Amino acid sequence: MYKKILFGTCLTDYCMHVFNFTLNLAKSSNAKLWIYHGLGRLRLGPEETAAKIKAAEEQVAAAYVPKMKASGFSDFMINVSDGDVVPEMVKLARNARIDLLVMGTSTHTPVSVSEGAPANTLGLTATQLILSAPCPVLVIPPALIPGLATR
Amino acid sequence: MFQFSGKLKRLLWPNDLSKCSESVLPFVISVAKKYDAEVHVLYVAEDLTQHEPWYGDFDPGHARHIMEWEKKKAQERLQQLCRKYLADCAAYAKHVVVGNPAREILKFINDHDIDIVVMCRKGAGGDFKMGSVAQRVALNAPVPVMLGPGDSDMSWR
Repeated sequence: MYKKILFGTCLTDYCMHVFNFTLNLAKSSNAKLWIYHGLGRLRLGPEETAAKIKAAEEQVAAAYVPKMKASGFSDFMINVSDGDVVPEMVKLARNARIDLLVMGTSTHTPVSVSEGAPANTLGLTATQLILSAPCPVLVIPPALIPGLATR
Repeated sequence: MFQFSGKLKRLLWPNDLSKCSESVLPFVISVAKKYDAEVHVLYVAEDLTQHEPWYGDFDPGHARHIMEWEKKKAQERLQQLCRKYLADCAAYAKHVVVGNPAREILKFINDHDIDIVVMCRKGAGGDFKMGSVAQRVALNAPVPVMLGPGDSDMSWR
């Protein structure tokens, strides 16, 4: 089954809903959970980049670690990097031999959903990851994330 | 708040009989076995009578005849697939319906209380990397959708 799960986050409230699902999935599968947060291209010097990454790691830890500890889950890794998010996640998925990647369709702004909606309204990151991930991608649709779906 | 209950009772595998659809079979089987889930295999035949007659009027009887043939062949192929690959699963059912693929898949999810959808990111139609049916289902489904990488090389796993 899925022993290594990768969850990509942009630290929004919407991501927290996806995280709750991922955490329960990881717990029920006895899987190791990777939490990835990408900073994008920073165009800074090495020291400033390292400082930004450290600050972001603390932010991610503050957002998710208490929740994991409260539910008795300890098998996790936090990974923060600069650079383009999609190639960095694909690289991580390949290097860590991830079995499953979990993400929302778009976690920045509410998305319009309807059966007649244009097909290309999935988020850009989600679409690119689905196309380039070396493993299956579990997409949590907007309907399951409170406030994300508009009609 | 939306939570994963730890149980998946019914899994939907939309299958257009393409190579890509078949490539997600390992994920279908692993999820079905892990959660003891029923596997519902769905083939949606496009409704030919609903197409605009761009190239002139056509005989609806003839279109229906082609669709009946397609449904019969799809049933046979799904039967082969299920017998060959899903025999070890808790239970499986195959379904063939006619209509718009994305719409029928979404309707099926609601009608059959599906808990998870496992499908390929692209189908048989067109030469696109990301299929429009997969995108519409991922965007509109009321349940998580697992999209397989299709032709990606997973031999390293």
